[in-house]
Amino acid sequence: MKFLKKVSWKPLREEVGLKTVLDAFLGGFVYATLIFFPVFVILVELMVVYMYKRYTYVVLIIVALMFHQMLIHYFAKRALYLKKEDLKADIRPMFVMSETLINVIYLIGGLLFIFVFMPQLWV
Amino acid sequence: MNELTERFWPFIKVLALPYLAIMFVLLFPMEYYLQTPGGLAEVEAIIQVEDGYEQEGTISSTYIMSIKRPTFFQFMAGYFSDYSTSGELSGSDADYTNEEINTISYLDKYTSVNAAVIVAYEKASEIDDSITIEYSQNLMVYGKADYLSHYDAIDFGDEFVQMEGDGGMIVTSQDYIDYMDSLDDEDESNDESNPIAEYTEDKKLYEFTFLDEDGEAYSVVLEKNAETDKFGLTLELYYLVNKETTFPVYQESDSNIGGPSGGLLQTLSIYNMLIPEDITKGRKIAGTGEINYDGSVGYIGGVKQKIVTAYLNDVDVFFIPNLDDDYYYDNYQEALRVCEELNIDPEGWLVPVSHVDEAIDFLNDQNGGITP
Repeated sequence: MKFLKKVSWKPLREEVGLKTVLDAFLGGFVYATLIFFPVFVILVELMVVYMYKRYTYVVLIIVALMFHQMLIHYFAKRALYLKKEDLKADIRPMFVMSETLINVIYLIGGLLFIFVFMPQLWV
Repeated sequence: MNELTERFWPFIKVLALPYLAIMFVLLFPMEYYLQTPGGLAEVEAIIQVEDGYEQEGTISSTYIMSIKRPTFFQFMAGYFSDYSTSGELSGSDADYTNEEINTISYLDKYTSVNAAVIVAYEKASEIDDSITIEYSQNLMVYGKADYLSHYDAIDFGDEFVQMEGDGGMIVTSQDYIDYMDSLDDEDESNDESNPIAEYTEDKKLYEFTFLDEDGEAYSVVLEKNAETDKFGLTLELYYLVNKETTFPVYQESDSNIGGPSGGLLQTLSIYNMLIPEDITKGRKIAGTGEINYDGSVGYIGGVKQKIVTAYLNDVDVFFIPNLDDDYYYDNYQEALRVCEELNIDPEGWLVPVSHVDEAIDFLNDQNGGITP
């Protein structure tokens, strides 16, 4: 509960402004995507070649998506500290919560894709 | 973002070239093809007969991954697999774009489903005379040479209606169908009786009329190529089902899988939905092979990948085309060679068939040929 109480974007927004937070996440997204783009291409191309192992590759793609968003958060955090070295707002709980939430969404979406959409796609 | 760029600039400078090299390997297409195993697709998922009989087992067609112009990375990934086949693109595959190859593949699948419905309904009507089917003969565009004038205006699958030849002579699709029928009888090409060739000698430009996929008529003036003395158009004869007068009604669902090689299994599945006796007998049935309008089974490509797919999916029965001895290409013999190469025992599940009747007889057999 103590942890959850700390989860708020308000102190960070008030300290550095919304524009700076968004800019940090944009930078995080750009650099994380640059790093992960070849990974996604490799996994998709391998899935096409080894279609009989498609479920394995879809799981790997979901895991890669999770790492991708974790890297976005990591770069965003780095960008915030580079913008303001003496950042006072405790951003760790918010980032952990945000990463967990997105991972849960990816997981639910991934399971839906595997068990609902994939059997419909390959007919 | 600028802060990150400043912070990582030394790394970006060092890694930019290797990064571009990796992307080149990952995205550069090669003029090769790659065939790898795919999976099984239950026919019931794409064709459903209204109030059709239930089946205990499954009947599935087998699909493979046929990658035209794979990237360098895909090619290398497939090259080292025991299950893949690769080679240089040749023939029409080399001339067409990947999009056009896909369109042709879906046209093949569409006409194959129609052939499967016709054969299955006619076969089932021998058991139940309330089953009726009507169909029409259609001449459709199946091939386009690069020198075809108005190349983009004419789509694969458009229906040929007529052509205005020398002296205002109208050559209809029926005239051309009669010509094609005569070719079947004589079993050899005869350009002298080809009505399009016969009535296009005086001029260079002739008006052709087609129906597009929405049934809208359009006309184009096509020019004969000086070098080949041809228009560059390949027409194929297909039988298309008239759904309004066909009983019982059937529905088709969208499918991502193209090609005609599911024809035999589609025929068996539709036939099984139409007759009270379940020919699956609880078995997992798969196979491959084109279905011809007379019920005979045509040869297919990608035998190795299909055998592997069937083996990995642990099927009970796998039908494979078995052509007569004087045919130059025998899928069954190739399948046996693949089994030997990959150390797969073909005994009991690999069944050669040359006609849909053979497949039905096999399945109707009490044990279905499978050792219990």
